[in-house]
Amino acid sequence: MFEYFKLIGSGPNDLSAAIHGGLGIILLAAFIWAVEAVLNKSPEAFKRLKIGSIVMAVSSFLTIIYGNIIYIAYRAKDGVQPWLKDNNIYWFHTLGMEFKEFAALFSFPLAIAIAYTLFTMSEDWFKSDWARKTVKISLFIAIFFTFGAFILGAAVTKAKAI
Amino acid sequence: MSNTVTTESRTASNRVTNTVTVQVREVKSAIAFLAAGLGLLSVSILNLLQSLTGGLKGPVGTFLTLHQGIGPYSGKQVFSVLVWFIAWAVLKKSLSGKDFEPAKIMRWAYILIVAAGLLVFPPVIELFV
Repeated sequence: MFEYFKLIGSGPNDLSAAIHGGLGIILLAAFIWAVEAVLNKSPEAFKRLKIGSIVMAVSSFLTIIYGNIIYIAYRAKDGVQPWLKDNNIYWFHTLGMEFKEFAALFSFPLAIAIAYTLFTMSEDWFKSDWARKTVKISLFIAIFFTFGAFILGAAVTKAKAI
Repeated sequence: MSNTVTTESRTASNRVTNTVTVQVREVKSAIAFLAAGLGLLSVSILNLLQSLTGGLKGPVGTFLTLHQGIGPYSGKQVFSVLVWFIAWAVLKKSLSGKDFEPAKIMRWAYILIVAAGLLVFPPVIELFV
C-alpha cells in the first residue's frame, strides 16, 4: 500500500499539492451528492443534503487554505509561474491560474450560504419551493466554478507540476 | 357552532403565522446569498483596481500584498471576507423582519455572482486595461 504513496512524489510541495487536489475531489463529490439530495424531496434526502452542505463548506475552506500554501510555491523564483512566463505560455498562467484562483473562491461563500439556508429553513424546507429552487441553482453555480477551477488546476499541473 | 368558528379562526391564524415564519426564514436565507455575492464582487473589483493601477507593483497591488509569498491575492481574500461578513451583518440588521420578497433579493444575488464571475475572467479584464 505504501508503494502508492510514492506516486504522490517526494518533493517539498508534493504532499500539499496532493491534499489540495484530493480536497477538490471531495468538494466536487459533495456538490454532486447535494444535487442528488436536493432533487429528492424525502426527509432522509434533506438530512443527506444538510450533511453534504457541511462537507462542502469544510472541504471548500480547506481546499482554499491548501491552495494558498501551494500558491506560495507556485509564485516562488523557481516556481511554476516564472517558468510559464519565461516560456511565454501566457494563457496557462493568465487563464489557468489567475482565473482559476478566483473561480475556486466562489465555492466557499456559496457553500456557506447553502448550509445557512438549509439550517435556517429547517422543518420549513418542505413548505418552501423557493428555498429548494435557490439551493438547486446555487449548487449548479458552485459546481460550474469549482469544476472549472479543478480542470484549470489540472491543466497547469500538466504543463508543469509544483 | 361558536366552537367550530373558534377552531376555524385558530387554524387560519396558525396558517398565516406559518406563512410569515417561512417568509422570514426565506428572507434570512436570501440575505446570506446576497452577502456572498457582495463578497465575491469585492474580490473582482479589487482585482480590477489592481490591474488598472499598475498591477502587482502598483499602489493597489502593494496595499493588497498582506503576505509576500502569496502576493496581492492574500489581501483580496482577506478584504473580500471582511466585505462578505460586514455586508451580511448590515443586511441582516436592515432587511430582516421587513416585508421583502426573497425572490427579488435573490435576483440581485445572482446578478452580483455572475458579475463577479465575469469580472475575474481575463478576456473581460483586458477590455478595461
